[in-house]
Amino acid sequence: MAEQLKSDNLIEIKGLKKYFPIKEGLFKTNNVKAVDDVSLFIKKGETLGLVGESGCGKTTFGRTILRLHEPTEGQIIYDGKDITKEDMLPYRRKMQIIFQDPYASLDPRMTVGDIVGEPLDIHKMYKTKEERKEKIYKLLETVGLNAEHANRFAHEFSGGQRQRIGIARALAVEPEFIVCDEPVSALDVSIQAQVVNMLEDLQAEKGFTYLFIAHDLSIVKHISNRIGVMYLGHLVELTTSQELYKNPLHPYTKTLLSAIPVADPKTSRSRERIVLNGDIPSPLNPPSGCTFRTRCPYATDICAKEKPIFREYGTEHYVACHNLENINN
Amino acid sequence: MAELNNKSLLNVNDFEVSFFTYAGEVKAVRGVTYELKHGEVMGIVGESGSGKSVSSYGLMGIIPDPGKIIGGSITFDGKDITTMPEKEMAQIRGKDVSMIFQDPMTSLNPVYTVGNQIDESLRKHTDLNKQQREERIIELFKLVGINQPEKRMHQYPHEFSGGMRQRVMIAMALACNPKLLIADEPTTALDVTIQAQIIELMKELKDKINMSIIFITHDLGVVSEICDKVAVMYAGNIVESGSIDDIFYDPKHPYTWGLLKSIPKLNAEEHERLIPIEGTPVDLINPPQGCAFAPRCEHAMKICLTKKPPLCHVGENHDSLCWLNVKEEFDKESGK
Repeated sequence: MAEQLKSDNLIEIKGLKKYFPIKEGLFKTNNVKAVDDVSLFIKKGETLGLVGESGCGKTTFGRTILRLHEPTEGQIIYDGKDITKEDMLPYRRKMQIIFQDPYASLDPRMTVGDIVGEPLDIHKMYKTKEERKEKIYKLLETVGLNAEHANRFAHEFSGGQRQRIGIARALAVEPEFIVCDEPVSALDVSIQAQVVNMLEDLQAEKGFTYLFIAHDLSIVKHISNRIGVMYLGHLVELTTSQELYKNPLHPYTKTLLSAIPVADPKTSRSRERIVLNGDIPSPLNPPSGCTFRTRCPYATDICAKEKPIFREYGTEHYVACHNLENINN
Repeated sequence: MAELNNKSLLNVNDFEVSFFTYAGEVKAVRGVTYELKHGEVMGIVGESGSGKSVSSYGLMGIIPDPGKIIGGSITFDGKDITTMPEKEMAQIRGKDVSMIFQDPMTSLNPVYTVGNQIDESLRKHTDLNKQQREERIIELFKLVGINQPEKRMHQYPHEFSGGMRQRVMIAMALACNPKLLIADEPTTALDVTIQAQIIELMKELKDKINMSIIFITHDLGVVSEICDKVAVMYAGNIVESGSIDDIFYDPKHPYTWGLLKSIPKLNAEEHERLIPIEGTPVDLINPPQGCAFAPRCEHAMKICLTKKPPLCHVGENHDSLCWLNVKEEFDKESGK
């Protein structure tokens, strides 16, 4: 962190949109609005969690920040610099990603050493072959593997170990910011905890900033400083993780919290659960106004007409809802 | 046990399944014993590869190749189904025992309407005529909460969402009023809000229809929502079984301790560090000589590495497969 800090925010996203065009017939195209007007910032050294159901756009959002998808509209500002149109190669050294599926994200024909070493090759981060090897060994040790694993292939490893390889690859370029896209959802519970702890230790040691994307709210709450809740391409609520759990304001956040099965029989017997009707509407044809209104128990006329504005309620608590006062009193 | 047999629907006794692969014999299920009464809901939890699914496939007689039952018995409704000829088994499968699979996206046939697929088991197992069967399907759709059943039953699986397909699967499983329903990770592929819908539905059904349910899952949260009792599986063994209160509030096996500690608590006030179970699950081609969990167990004693632990009764209907529960061994180790 030699550079002078321009602000506390490492990343600022302004009005980010990502539409995927779909051909409908010969001349007509429609858009899947995967991410629709999302603005947020991520402070240096913090973990921002992003939760939502499948198809809500959380993964697309994470990838668009890294410009693995080109944004349709909006600005991505990294460390004070607008990188929406920049050449990304120098920024790839600072921004990395850990993928969800440890089985599909590693090349089966490359040795683990080459997988981890590839970013080093691309960014020319070594002078001699010896140095490259040493760096790879060190990376493998950082994530709890051994130097001898470098000559093996990905299929020889278990899911948890593969995820460690994916993490080592992301760490290879010594990044500042890492998008963790559901890094533990494919793993067994006992292994999940190992990987989550490792991510936390690495952050404490190297001062990483994480965007942690997951559908499992209990994991996200555990690891994040602040949490954003997405629904159908929109951010509906964003606040600190304690506040989100204790004082959720948006009706969708409330349902999401009550839908999580709790590993505590007494609590699950006593609590009242809000069960939503129906499924998420198609992002091809989202409802007018507030996109949640079709499943929202509190929806009124205004919800169909106007898009709710993402406003601040209390400190650092942002919500997009028309009827907050009615719902929470 | 004779008097117990009268009340219980299912008795699984020292059941063993192995897969004979090129790499060697994979001992997937290594002696599983449990009992299920009428109307009881039992959860089976365990990590992938613990044998929780395979042991239940045995109940349906659908253990995939190259798997073989190599020991033990399963008594269902007074009959041993491990030795039953396939013809007889086909009479039970889908009628008295039925199953819901994990992935509703792939377990329905895409080229038949959903109504037709539910109709299949009614055609096979009942004498109802066409109109009666149609009425039954409509009734089932209403039961599982699918709107407009008259229209929906003529649609194809791709016209249904994930949650709705799982409802179709449940309707199909319930078609012939089974005595035992096996639900193999029925909510794992679904989103949390949809998962909540399906759990609520199954709770409702459990009260409406008096059937026994075996609920296989890796999610302890789901277990605590719906089950009466739980069996925790590790490396082909049931390492602990008991009522849900026993398992969640008074667990006796180190693996159960580990599982409970490794999941983050949603209501934690401050940031608590997770306590993972170190190491990785065992290789079942070459299971360890002693307790299979011993290499990962922080309480492991010398005897754990050499001798298989006995099943200890640690409470009423609460069993644990661990040397720590054998007082003499524990005392010897701790030097008393």
